[in-house]
Amino acid sequence: MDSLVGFVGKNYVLIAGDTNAGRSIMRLKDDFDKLVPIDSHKILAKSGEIGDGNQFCNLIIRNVSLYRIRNETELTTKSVAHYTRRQLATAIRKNPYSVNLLLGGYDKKDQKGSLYYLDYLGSSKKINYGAQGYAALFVGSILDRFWKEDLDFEDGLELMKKCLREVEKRLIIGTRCFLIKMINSDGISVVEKVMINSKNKNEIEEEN
Amino acid sequence: MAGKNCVAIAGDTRFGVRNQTVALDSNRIFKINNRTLFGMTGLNTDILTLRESFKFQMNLYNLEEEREISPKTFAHNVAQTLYSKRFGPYFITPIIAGLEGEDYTPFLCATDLIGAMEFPKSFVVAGTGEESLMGVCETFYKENMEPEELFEVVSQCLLAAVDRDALSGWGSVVHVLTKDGITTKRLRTRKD
Repeated sequence: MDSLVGFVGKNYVLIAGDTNAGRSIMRLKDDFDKLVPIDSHKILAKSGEIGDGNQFCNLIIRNVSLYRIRNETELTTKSVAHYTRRQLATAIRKNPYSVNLLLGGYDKKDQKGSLYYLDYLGSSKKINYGAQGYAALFVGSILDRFWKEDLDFEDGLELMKKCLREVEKRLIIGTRCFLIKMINSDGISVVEKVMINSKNKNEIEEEN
Repeated sequence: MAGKNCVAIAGDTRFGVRNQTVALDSNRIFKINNRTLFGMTGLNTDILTLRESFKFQMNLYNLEEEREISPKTFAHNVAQTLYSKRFGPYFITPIIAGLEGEDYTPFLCATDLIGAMEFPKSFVVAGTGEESLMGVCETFYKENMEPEELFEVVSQCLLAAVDRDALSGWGSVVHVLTKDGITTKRLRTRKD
């Protein structure tokens, strides 16, 4: 039910998630922030069980903090992805966390953004663009077609909105509202909270 | 597949979840040392976990024994690791290919998910397209192939098999291991 979309651009990473929190057929909350900051330059976007997501993200945030306090150095995105994957992989056969994640981060050392796809089994893959949830079915092909290496921020935002428009239009479960966050050298910033309404006449005219 | 003092491993590079493709560049074939290549198919999380586990074990082996592990020993190590999880297995099918001994004899080993080993002389296959692979390898395999010919045969076998299997494809990589080193080439396959 959750939709997460993310991709890497020129010195930034854009991640968007829907802001619905639901249980079965009921929408509990429609301003739920799924894009959790792990440290100043990394976001863990969570989807799946709400409780598991909270607990697991807390685990990662606190352990990353502990590492920083002990070793006086920030972890790279790759290391955090590795650590997160390891936690998921050891948990799957004992006490599984039912969370699928997108980890996006910007590394000052390489001056590059990176995005990782992590799922509840502990699979992990560094990707340039991707999505979690039902959104992946719709957005995968859009990103295949339009994503390019080193997209400017404006082009990237436009591409993200194109993806979210498609999710809103075609996913039968109503997800009107999305939160888009960006990570770049300055850190994490909320780009926009987008309300997409494809029934809106203006929206349709804009499509044309 | 084995040739004359050389071995080759080829694999596709698709990472998918059932029928959805997530990434096109996942590497499942790993170099253990200059004599051994190790490939796995199956559940991505177990592939990554075992990759890390074997890397750790091999580093420790190198430090303790002050030499590189032979392919045969490594194969037994893999089998033991898999059997240790007999009643809660890793869902992978590994393939070990290497050059054994002073005269670089080709060594091939395939095991199932709980470590039952087989040591064929000709070729080993694994994965969702293993039946297709078996058929086409059987047809094209010859004894004592030189590295160039081995590369051609292995490539064509893989390409033919992934064309038939829906869950395989989206790019492939071929490693040829000879006593002079490893040559790696990427092939274009059908992207569907």
